[in-house]
Amino acid sequence: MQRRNAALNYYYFILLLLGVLLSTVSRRLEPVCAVLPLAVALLYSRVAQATPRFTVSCHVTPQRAFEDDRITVAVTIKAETALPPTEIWHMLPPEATCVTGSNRFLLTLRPGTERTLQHEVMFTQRGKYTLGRLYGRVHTPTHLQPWLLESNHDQVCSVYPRIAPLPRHLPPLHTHASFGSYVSRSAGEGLEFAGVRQYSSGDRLRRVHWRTSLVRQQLYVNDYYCERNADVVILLDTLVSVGTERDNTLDVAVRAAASLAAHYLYRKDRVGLINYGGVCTWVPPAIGQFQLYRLLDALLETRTHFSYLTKDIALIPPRVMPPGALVLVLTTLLDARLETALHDLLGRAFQLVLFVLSPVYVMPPSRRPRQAEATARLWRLEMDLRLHPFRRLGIPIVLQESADPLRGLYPTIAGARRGQ
Amino acid sequence: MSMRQVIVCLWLGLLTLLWALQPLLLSQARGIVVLALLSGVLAVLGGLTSVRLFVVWSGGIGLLNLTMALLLTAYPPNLWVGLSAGVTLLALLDGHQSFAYLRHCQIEPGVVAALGGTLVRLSGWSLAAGVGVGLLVTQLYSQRVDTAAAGYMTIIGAGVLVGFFAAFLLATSHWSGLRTQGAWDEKDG
Repeated sequence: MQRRNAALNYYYFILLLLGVLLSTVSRRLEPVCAVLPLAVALLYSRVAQATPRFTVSCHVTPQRAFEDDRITVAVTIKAETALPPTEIWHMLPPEATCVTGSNRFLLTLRPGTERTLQHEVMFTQRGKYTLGRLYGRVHTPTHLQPWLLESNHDQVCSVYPRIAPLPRHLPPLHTHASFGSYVSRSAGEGLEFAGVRQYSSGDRLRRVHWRTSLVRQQLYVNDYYCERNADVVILLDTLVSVGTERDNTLDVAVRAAASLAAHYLYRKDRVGLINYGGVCTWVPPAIGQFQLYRLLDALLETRTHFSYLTKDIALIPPRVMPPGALVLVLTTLLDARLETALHDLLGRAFQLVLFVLSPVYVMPPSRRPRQAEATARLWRLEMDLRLHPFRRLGIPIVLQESADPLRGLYPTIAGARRGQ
Repeated sequence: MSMRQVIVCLWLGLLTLLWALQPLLLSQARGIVVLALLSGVLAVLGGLTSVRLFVVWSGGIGLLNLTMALLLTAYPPNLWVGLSAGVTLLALLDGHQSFAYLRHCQIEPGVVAALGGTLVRLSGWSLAAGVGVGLLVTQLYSQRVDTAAAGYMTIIGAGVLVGFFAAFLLATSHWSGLRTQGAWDEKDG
């Protein structure tokens, strides 16, 4: 804690000086009497000096949240001596909004008492934020010489992109034998009951269907369908991002990628991620809850790094892009370098689904709606022209038509499959 | 805006107007009316925009105005006028800070009472000091001292008072700074 003179001291002194001067010049007592309370306040602030003793702690829960989730910050103040009016300010990052309570409060405490004050914070944008930085000001006993306090209880809070549930599931075309949610037409190891057949050598005893065996007087065993899952790779175009710092196409793409990853991981598919940009990073496909957090952590760090160089997609190792994987590409298609990579992937017989994000939905609202409408139409025409070669090859293309880029996913893929 | 904030806002506005327009009660001279209105506008503006300098500036003009009004009306020395003006000025300046808290902070129970208690205590001390000064001056006046000597004494007394205050403030600020630095050094080991 540090004691500082408030600016009010100088103001009080100037007024005191003026009062005394006026009193001297006019030879009247009233000006001095008028500034007398200021002089008393100055004296009182110096004479009645007591050092308050107290401790401040801060606790943030949860430290992992999604966008628009509420994070509770509890600030506890424990006073050893009597605490005069004290202002405690929990400094928030500019992206944060205090939704419940206040991050600035004024309180007094009796000796030996403790008080916990809570407020809830919300972040509307993904990122890693530091919370728990507290500043305080203790007024003993006037506002003239406050004690200043700085207390760092830094707690890093990871705010993951928002996950929106997909209304329907879109199974990949190619699956492989592993445990998963897809049921194969052939019998084998699995959980889905297929039928009963005669025992053959090598069958497990635990699979014997005793009731049928007793009726038929020979051994019968249960048969199950094989389980299968798929490899899904999300390819995120980080070459270009359009929009403002708060609202941009990269954030929209990241939210869509998180939703797709969560959806396919829930179906026990192996999901991987490739950030394709100036700096190319990836997460190899895997299954489970851990993988979801691995992907979310990777998405948290996703940024646009401008570079004239791009990594050749052929250099990405096969364990990251397994053969036959479903590749979900999220792009604005404003950088032509991605088109080369897409042609390369098509040449290697990957199943592609193209999500083309529109910059129209992230631009600040225009004063001229007609101009905005014309811009949207122009963008649409340009995209139609650029996507024509892909359409001819039968690639499902989801053009963003609303704020949610995944809205048109199901009709597009269903239409493409009917076409096949 | 909560009920408490509205009440404090009204209180602050009333204080501001009371301080700024007080000389109007004593004099109807045109110059004083203009000055009183000017200081009133400045004080209200300072209160609304949280610019403390405006409030202090209006306080200065108010002091000047009060002196002029008293001189022009040849109003007899009245301790009550000066002290009430002073307490209003103190409440205005001190309440300005409290008002900022009410606007931006969540106020916990007991704080308003603590802030008000300090103001009441200061007003009590001011009243006592004012009465003391008044008695002292009346006593000196009844001594029938030479006019020129009384004038010199007033000037010297004012200088000594201001000098003492300046030295006192500087010294206490320096000591508190040293003590704080010492505590920090001790903490850092």
